[in-house]
Amino acid sequence: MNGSNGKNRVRTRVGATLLAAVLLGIGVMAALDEIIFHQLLAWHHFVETDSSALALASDGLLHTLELVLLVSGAALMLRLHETGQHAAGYRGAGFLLGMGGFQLFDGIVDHKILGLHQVRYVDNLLIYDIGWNAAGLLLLAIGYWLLRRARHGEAMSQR
Amino acid sequence: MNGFTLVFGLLAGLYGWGWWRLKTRGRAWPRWRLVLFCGSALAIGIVLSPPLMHWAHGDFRGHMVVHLVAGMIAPLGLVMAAPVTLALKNVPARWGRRWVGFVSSLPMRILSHPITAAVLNVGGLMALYLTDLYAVMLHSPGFALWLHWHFIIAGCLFSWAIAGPDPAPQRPALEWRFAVLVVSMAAHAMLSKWMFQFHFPASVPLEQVRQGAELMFYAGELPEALLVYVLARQWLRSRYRETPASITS
Repeated sequence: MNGSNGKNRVRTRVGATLLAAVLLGIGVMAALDEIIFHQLLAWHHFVETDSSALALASDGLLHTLELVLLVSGAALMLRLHETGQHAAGYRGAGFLLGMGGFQLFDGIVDHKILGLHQVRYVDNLLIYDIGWNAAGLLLLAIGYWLLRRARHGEAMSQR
Repeated sequence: MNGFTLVFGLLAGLYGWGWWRLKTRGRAWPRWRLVLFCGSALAIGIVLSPPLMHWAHGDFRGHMVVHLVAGMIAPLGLVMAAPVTLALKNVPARWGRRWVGFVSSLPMRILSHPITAAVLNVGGLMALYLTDLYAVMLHSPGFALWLHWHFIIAGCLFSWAIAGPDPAPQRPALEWRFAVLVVSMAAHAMLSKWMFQFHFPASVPLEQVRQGAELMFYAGELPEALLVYVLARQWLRSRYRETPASITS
């Protein structure tokens, strides 16, 4: 997965750059979800049950994994930049793909298949579900568009 | 003035002396490490000074501040300042061989294993908060003193076992240390959530427990995130080496 572009003199690593950006995207989206929807608006918690010890434990584990993804992604991205191995054009694409991927995963798997929690506890839930998943799809679409531009060498940072 | 200020004042003085000795002999030792060590020693001296200890004794939030600083943040600083490496640079080489022999001995290898260190750390916290030990501690000054030392030393042991820069032969593989770190971070987060929801320690008023547990959940992430970062750096340094600029693609 090693790509190159004409300007850079060192070998760039497309796969590693995408991985770092996706990790950062997932971490940031999970943090935004936690901060805005769990804490500020208090619409839902990760597992909506009658406060069983296991549900709380799952929340603690999720929170830890989000932090680890964020810090690991940042460390990897920093290292790639220090050594000049980052693949320009793939950073934004990976970041948005990570964000959109997590949002859609949360909306489909967590909310609907596993039924861990809903977006908001109101009568007309459908609007919230559509909004939640549409946001995820939109982020994924922009991320995919950026990825294609990067593959064709047309991204802003590649010119 | 108490035992903690005395011990950590002496340690900071020793570190400063070692730093000065190297410097006057023209051998480099980064100044940020000196600042880090003295800052961490000072932080322990402050949170374990009589007025703050008095506050921590009567108020669970105060107790949690002391735990976070003396048990997590300051030990990380002390370990990242690499005091053993500095000491070994200042003494004859045979002391270094003795140190290596000491940390390679079986009891030390078991004690400094990441899993042992994690159990002493988070396991100690669970024993303290989820049982009646916390109430026992409030009524027994000797036990309270011992607990403070336990958490300072266990915190140093954990930081060193996971990502310490000081020489440690026969350390488990990086992936293992990463796994132990993630599990113990999750255990710390779970413990604080249980304390918040199920009112542990039960002898403390609920409002204080909730604020203390919140502090533990959020402020505890700072040293944990730093440890993840240090460990990730160690791994990435070997995986993504500097590439000479002359190599063309």
